[in-house]
Amino acid sequence: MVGQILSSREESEFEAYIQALLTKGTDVQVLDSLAELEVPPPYRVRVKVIYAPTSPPPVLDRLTERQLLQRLTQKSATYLYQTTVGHKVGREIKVSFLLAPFVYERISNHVNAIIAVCKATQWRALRNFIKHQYPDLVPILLSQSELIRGAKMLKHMTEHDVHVKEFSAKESLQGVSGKRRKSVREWTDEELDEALLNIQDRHQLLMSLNVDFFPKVGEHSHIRPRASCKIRKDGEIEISGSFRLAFEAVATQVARVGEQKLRFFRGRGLRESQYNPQPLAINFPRPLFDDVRVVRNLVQLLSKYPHSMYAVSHGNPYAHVRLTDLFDGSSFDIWAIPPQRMALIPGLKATEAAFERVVHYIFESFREGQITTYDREERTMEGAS
Amino acid sequence: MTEKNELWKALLNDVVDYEQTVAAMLAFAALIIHDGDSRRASAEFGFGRRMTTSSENPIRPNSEVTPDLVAQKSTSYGIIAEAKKSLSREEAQWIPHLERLLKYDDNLIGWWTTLETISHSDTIMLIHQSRGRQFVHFLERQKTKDPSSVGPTTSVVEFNQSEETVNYFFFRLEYGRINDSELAEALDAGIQIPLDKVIQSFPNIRFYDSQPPVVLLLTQLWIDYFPSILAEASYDEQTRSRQIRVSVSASTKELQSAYGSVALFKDRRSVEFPRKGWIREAFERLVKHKLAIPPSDSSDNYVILYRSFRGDVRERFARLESAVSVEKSEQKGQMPLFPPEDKE
Repeated sequence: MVGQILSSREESEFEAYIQALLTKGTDVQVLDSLAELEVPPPYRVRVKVIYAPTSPPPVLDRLTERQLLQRLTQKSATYLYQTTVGHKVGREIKVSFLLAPFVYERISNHVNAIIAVCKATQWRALRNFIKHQYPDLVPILLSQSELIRGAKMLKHMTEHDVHVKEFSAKESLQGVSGKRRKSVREWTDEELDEALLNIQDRHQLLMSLNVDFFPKVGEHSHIRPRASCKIRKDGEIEISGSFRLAFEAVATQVARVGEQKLRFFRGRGLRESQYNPQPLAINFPRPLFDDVRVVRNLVQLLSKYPHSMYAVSHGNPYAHVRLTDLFDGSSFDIWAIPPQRMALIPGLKATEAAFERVVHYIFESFREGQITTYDREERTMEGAS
Repeated sequence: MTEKNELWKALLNDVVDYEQTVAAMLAFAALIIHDGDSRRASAEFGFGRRMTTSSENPIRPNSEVTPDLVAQKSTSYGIIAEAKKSLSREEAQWIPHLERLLKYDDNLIGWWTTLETISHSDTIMLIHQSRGRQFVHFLERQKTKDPSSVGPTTSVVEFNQSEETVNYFFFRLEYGRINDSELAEALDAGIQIPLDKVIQSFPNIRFYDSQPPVVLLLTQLWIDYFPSILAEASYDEQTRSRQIRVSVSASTKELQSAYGSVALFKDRRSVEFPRKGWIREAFERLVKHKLAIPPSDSSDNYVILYRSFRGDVRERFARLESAVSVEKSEQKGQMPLFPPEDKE
């Protein structure tokens, strides 16, 4: 276990070392170096999996041309982000990071990983900057079922014992003024399958999962984890211990899920599909829309969709709402059809980013369902791959 | 309720009527061309299809007519329908509807067969349940007065949109006979067409061959068409809007391809909708609302002053339209007029 960094001098020296490490070779060589790196707290290896409709490198190159980023070397895609935070007293934040493709995993070049070794404050600044590049850079947003499915695969992929040590979630609360959601954070030490079962039983909506990977021989597990990993629903991963294990297992899995989903959403705008409609459906496991209160609640939620415009064509007893995504001009007709289906009909423009954003919003603020094509075949995302 | 509020609600109701008419026509077309599992062989349908009347037509021989819906079930049977979600309260204004039905009750040419003829067809008034019974009584009275005023294959089919656990369209024969035994049996008892199936089969058809309420067009443009080309727009500090250059022709063509006539079966007898004139009128309304700059030359290029709206976009346009209408009527000193119903 590496000792915590205590002084600002040590911080400066460590950050200079990191920058040198990130610029010393090709992407592959840098990743190999990170695999050997011991990282002292409060620093962590932090990864964000992102998608770009073209691919991320040209986007970052354009940001470099606009002097919003600085390219540190041509040998690898390593950049420096600098900003000042704080209103009254400005603090300078500098964070260098690598943009790495998933070359060995046959994941398309639309999906890359942003990898930094930094403190939480630096990461927040970088994350904020990335967020403001939407829709040129698109986050991978995981649903509950994708997060759980991905987590369950970790055991088999890594042949390690996987334990949940902490998770954050939202729980529904029935109050006087109606149903609300509260955030919870729980510390535990449960075997993964058991922890996930408890979360599902309590109808908790997972926001992040913190897991330990214990090496295993037969039925016997090590007492110290080889790696720890915090996985967030927005495709962010924090790694302690073995970078290689966590990156290859977790980040790659997030990238795979994200790429599959965004590929499924791609090309559905009417203009892009030569005016052949390619709508999608969200199918819920139980009847929902025969309750007029649920329908009205849905209409309310859609009218509050962030950064959008709306028009309600029909609100009672079935819902038909038209939405425009103001980030990129995508539009959708959203129908809630009793008893248990929602149809998402793309308009003239409907990017994969906009589809992901609206589906994620529905999943987070309303309910999760299964996404299929809205036609006779009803192909799922998994079936379409 | 103030005059402006009344007009605002009436404008919104007109939009709902138009949308439900389109949906009802699609549902009825689906009933004709689908057997429940798949599309029937030789089945087709069109909105506003150009049909040619025979030389024996009592109203307009050897001319072109464009019924709201033409649907062919097989090479030997089809239907011609006129769709009405709502009717004027004045029965005197129903005479043109009867005349239109009589014009269509003919051996029309223009079917999807080798000779473009068909051996059996029915002429149907597809009418909302709220007016169906009254229209049937009106039709019977007219027929009693003048037997030749109602054609031999004319019938009335009522529709309503049921809003129960499963949403569906319901169709039932209320007058006349259907000359296809399978369809006759279905319509005699009444048949439900699930809304889900209608949307799934025709997810993007928004128009038919009748001018939509301007509020509907303005909403479509503002919430879908203009945002889709916003990437080309430059921000103007003075008008605090993003300026998009659009041509009436280009927008018409795209709306036809995505939501209108080109999205349905197309051949030489197909009509085009939405029409260029309707789109131009909508652009002129935007000019009126200071949301567009008209062409400075004889071109059809407008500059749209695009900005996002807070609140419901459809309601916003309904309010804008009702305010202009009330202002106009106050200037003229008379009641505002509702949009005209009939296209012919």
